[in-house]
Amino acid sequence: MGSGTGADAALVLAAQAGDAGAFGELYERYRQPVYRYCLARSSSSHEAEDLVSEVFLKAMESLARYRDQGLPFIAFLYRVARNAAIDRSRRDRGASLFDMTIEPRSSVDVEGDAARASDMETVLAALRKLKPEYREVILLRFVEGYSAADVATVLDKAEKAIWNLQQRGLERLRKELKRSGAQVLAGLAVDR
Amino acid sequence: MNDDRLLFALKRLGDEELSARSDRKIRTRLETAWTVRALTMARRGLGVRRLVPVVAALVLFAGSAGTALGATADSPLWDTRVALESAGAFLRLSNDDRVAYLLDLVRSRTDEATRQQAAGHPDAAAKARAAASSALVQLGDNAPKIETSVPPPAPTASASPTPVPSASPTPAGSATPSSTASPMPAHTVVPTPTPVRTPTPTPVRTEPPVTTATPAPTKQPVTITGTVHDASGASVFNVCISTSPTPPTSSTACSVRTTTNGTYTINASATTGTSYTITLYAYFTDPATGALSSGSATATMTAPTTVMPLITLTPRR
Repeated sequence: MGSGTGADAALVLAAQAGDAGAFGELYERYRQPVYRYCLARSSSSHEAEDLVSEVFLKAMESLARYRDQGLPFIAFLYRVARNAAIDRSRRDRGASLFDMTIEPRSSVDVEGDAARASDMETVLAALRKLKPEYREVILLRFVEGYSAADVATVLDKAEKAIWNLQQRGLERLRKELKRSGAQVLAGLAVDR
Repeated sequence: MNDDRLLFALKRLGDEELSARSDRKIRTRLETAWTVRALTMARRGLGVRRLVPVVAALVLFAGSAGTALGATADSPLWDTRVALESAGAFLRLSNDDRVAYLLDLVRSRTDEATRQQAAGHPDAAAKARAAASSALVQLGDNAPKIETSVPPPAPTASASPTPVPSASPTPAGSATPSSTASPMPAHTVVPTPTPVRTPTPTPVRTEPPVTTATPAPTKQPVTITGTVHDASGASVFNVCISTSPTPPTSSTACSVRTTTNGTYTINASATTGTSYTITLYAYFTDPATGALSSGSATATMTAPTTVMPLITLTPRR
């Protein structure tokens, strides 16, 4: 995470000065991690895509007020995403957590796509049942691959707290997966 | 399930990516929002010249401005083209240039609508027409305002007890500088004569033209704000606010969109001494169902800041 921080700061400054290209570069860098974060907090890939759009629009609106305090820009985006997801879930209260659908990646490997989508649905559904603080830590640690120290920076928590959240989050996730674990295990066995 | 398997499953989530189609849609939305933001900042007084790097940088954001500017209304780059062209108006430093440029835009977009209609692409034609309307609105903001109700005073007989025919600056013939400056065919511009003061032979010089002259109309920034609610009274985010009574066919047809708390703010300019009655239309497409709801509000603008009545969305048809 640290490697891009200096470059991010320069891009943010340029974007604040009105350089659309700089903002475009920030979007280019972070659209995928933001999408995955949104995906874990949404009930469908369509909703996650809408949320990504909302996150970057809000980031654009807040750009003038953004001050570099040593935090990576992605930390700011994750916070915007978290707030946007909370706002949206308040608005869409009542929507099912289980109506998740994953669009097949291509039309060529239909069977592979279906198996993959099934695994993804199970893992995502389990992930979505966790408390947001567990979900965020697991997502950032194991999906995005950040170190515990980086996650601590992003979430503004102590590193020790991150380890604890990770431990408890994984336990809960295992429990959730046990309920529907057969499908995931089958899927993993095929993949390995 | 052991940890290895669980971690493997989680890592696979990292392969999930935003689809190319959604990526394009988001980029277009961001480009439009960026342009609107830049225009709003410019209107707030940051200066036209500052927009030069903004618009130049849009090239990088869009990938290729050359491609975008040649895009037809049935192309995915059409919205980018419209955004770039609209921003381009602010690069014209003189009002006359800007008006001429916007007139060209109206014409080219109308031509594009005709072409698309003839080619059997009604959706693309509608997009082009919406863009032409948007350029017309921009044109209306920039065109010289005409005060037809108050004729310019002729500093003649009643003003001066000793009428001297040759000294009367009647707005005739070559003394009408603004008639050629405005390329607006739809309007007949009533020239406000700039009294060219040829030396008056009479030494007694009363100044009736100065004291009774209508002040030249000046533009001042105005802000129009309001809120949009749904039928249940909840604020609605991302509602398209437009001056058009017909639903927008592209995001650029929206003047602004509501923020997360359902409010909107439009920054514009208005001619002093002119009363405006504004009607704004709100359009919202439910992302889940695709159902369109709309509402409108009308207000008379009497102060630099106008708060519109609440717009409540109701389903259309």
